[in-house]
Amino acid sequence: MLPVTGRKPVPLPKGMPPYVVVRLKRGWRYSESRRVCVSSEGQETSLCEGLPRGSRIVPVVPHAARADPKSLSKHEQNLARYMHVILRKGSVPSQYLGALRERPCVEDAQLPPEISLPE
Amino acid sequence: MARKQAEVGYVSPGISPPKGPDYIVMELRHDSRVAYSPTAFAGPTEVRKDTDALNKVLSAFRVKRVASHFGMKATQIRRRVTAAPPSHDRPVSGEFAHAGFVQIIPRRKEDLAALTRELNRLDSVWKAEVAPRPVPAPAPTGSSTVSRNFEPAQGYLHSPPNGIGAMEVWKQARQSGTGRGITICDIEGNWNRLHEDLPKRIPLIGGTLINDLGWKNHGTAVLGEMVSRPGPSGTVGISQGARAVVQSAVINGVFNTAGAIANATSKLGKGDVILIELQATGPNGKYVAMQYWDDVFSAIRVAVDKGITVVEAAGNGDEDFDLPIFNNTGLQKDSGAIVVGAGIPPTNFFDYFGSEWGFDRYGKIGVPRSRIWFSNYGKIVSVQAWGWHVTTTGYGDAQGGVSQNRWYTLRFSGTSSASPIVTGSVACIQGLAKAKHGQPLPPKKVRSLLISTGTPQEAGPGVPLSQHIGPQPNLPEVFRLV
Repeated sequence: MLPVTGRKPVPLPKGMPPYVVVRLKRGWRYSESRRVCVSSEGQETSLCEGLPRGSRIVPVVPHAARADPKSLSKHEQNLARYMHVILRKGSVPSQYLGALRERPCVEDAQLPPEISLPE
Repeated sequence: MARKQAEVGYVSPGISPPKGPDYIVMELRHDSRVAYSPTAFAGPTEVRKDTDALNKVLSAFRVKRVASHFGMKATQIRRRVTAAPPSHDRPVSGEFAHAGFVQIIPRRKEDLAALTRELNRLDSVWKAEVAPRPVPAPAPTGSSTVSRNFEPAQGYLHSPPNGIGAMEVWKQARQSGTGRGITICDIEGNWNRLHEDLPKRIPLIGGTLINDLGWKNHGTAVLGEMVSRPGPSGTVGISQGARAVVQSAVINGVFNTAGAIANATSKLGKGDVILIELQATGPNGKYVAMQYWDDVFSAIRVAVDKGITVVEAAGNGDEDFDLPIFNNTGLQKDSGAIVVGAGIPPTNFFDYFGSEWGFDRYGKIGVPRSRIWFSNYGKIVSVQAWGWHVTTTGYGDAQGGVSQNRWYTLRFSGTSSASPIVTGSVACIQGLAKAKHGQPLPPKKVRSLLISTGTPQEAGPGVPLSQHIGPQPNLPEVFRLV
């Protein structure tokens, strides 16, 4: 029961896949077309390595991730670093946090916030 | 909490007809010296013809019972024989007159009409008629074609210090004070965009809807506070002249609040307003505002930099944002958003359901405009608004029925109910600024005006002013300065 209205908390959407929020290091970008992370020096690395088959990488703000970093404001550049690593259903995202954090392009990997309605 | 939903429109309690047999009320002529018992009529010899005729009819219709209509005693009925005047038009006592009213109950309901006809033919009878079956005056029923008017329950629209003074500014500033020319984007998960009291064709500008009634009711209630249409029924939105759009926080099948804000930012312009109607669990296991997360914080900054005012629910975690655990997080930095806490409204009482979450049924909540017990608080919380029992669209506890399009609530609460009050206020201010100066105010100017002119926060038992949620907007004062 919610403390406010006495209503039952609204459930999370059914069928939402497990996912991890990844922040890339500064100077790294995710190339959607090549499905790899690319550094400003041209180094490439896969974000999906070691993840369950069928995992997807989706930029949190696609238009920022695709834009020339020089055209972005400081906060837009920050947004461009965020990726969702969407795992196959049934996966346990916490199992992949360690591996993701060890990727050379990753600054941090976290479980997503548990979102609800402030009713 | 299980709450019975009301029927649409006015409610009829469903009156069933009274029990008991149908009967005839017969009035004997005053000058007829006839008396009666439960089984027969009787009288002196000279009225034998009359009594025989009456008894013949009773016998022919197998009458079940004869009784005094006014419950007179046998002695009072017998007195008719001696007290009868020589003609019917002579004055008689009330007791005599009452004694002449006879209830005749046939065995068969089908005989009522014929029996009445036969009785009316007799010389000793003044009048006989089937007794009407009384029913209470009919109440208006659920077939009402229009919804009730809930505006009188929207106290948050009223003048400060109780409300935000929306009604005052509508009157002062006409159309420009209702948010005309401003677009509001609500970010959450679902809405009933077909609700009768909301503007038609509110567009979903991004994301996918969460297919759940709880999410749908919540979004509907939020929109109702801001943009429900004025009229003789339903509710009226604070910024009823504003345009509303909605953005789901679910993108690519997962929650992406930052992406939702960024998408809304790309589709809105300077002076428009984004409302973030979400919270999430923080490091202490309590709900916190979404700007705690760095990507959300950045997305808000981008929106504010574009001239879009962002309003954000502080969340219902009873959390102190000024704790050391939040150092260097978005809860102690200025994102540029107006963060909204929940205050106790002047209505200030729990209702019957108060006991269901551990409070006194019908007890007082606390001091009006003090922090309500669940609201988050801290330096970044800019302003407060009603966090309890806000009347708006959705849910159906005030008016329910088959169609969700006619549902209304008296009980929308939390920082959820407080945030749209502030969002609507912002839209009114920006509408006025645009109309008056040709351009909207910078978001931080809107925020500072709301803070500097607002009706101050109050302290209450266990909720000192140090638990900061800020003042409640005072639109008439802001309008004076814009």
